[in-house]
Amino acid sequence: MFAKLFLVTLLCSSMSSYAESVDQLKSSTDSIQQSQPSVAAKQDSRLKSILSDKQKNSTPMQQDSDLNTNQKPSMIDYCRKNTC
Amino acid sequence: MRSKILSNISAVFFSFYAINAVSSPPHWHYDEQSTWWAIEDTSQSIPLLYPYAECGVGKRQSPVDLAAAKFNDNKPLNRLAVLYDTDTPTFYNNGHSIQVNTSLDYSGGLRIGEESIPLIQLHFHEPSEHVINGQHFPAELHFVHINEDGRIAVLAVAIETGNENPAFQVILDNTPVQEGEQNANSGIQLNPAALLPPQDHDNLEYFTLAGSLTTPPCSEGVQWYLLSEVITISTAQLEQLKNFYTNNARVAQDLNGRAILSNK
Repeated sequence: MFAKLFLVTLLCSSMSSYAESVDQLKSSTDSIQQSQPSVAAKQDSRLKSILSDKQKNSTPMQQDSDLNTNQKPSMIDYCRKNTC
Repeated sequence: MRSKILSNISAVFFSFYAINAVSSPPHWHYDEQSTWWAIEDTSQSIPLLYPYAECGVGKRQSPVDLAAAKFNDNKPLNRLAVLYDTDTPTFYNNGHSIQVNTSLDYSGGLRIGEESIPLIQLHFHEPSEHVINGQHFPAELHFVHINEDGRIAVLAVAIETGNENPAFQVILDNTPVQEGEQNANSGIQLNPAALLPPQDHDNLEYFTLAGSLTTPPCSEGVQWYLLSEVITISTAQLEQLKNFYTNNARVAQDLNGRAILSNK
């Protein structure tokens, strides 16, 4: 009887985990589908994201000897301050 | 898939060097370029002690001697187009060359096939960095484009002496003489396309090869596009350029078997 109860509990727990993972899979599939617009829209948003990246990462000009910054550095920052 | 993985790996290494270089880049000079690789960053320990190691150990370094290359014009190549428009840029004397940084909201860039890469800056070398059979052009212009994952495409244009170049004069007249100074609020407008040869800007003729930054940290993963046509500046303009910086060119590096592709 005790063993039966244990098996039923185990089965319920497995089913609940399975349902949860199906939900997660569905939500990630939805988000992937949402993040695949047409080629033109994708390029447009990409350019926008590049521009916003440029804005976010830009800092006032400094010489290469004192480039320490608290912002996340990037090649864009680096090449705005150095020859590259 | 394989090329995507390789490109991602290269981007990671690229970021590593960029981050490393941004945090504490030691000074370097053109007259000690044979030992750039050995310059130490004493604030770091091995392997970060040598932030410019790639200048010495890299196998795909730039610039190169075009005469030494195997050319391959049979492969279909991406169409190359410039989408530059007028900007109000910053004129910057970076201590090694004169440089023009595009404004933060500049939307111009280079279209390589279907991909557009924003123009971040342009700068000049005197004499040229790329050579043909050891012969330099009087100068060379580099348009530096960088996409959001840090990949760089440089459009290089050889400069001959000849007719005066009005767009170049704007740069000469507005770049500060003092090292490290910038002229950000001049309000001067410049269209970088005015510095290109008078060819079809929607379908440029070029040579391309994989290379590196030509200055420390000499990071590889840079795709070079060398235009087949030159632009001119006057002799007086060349002298003005030399008054800022002269001999700011890296010597040609080994091709190590790299082929140069051409769409000519």
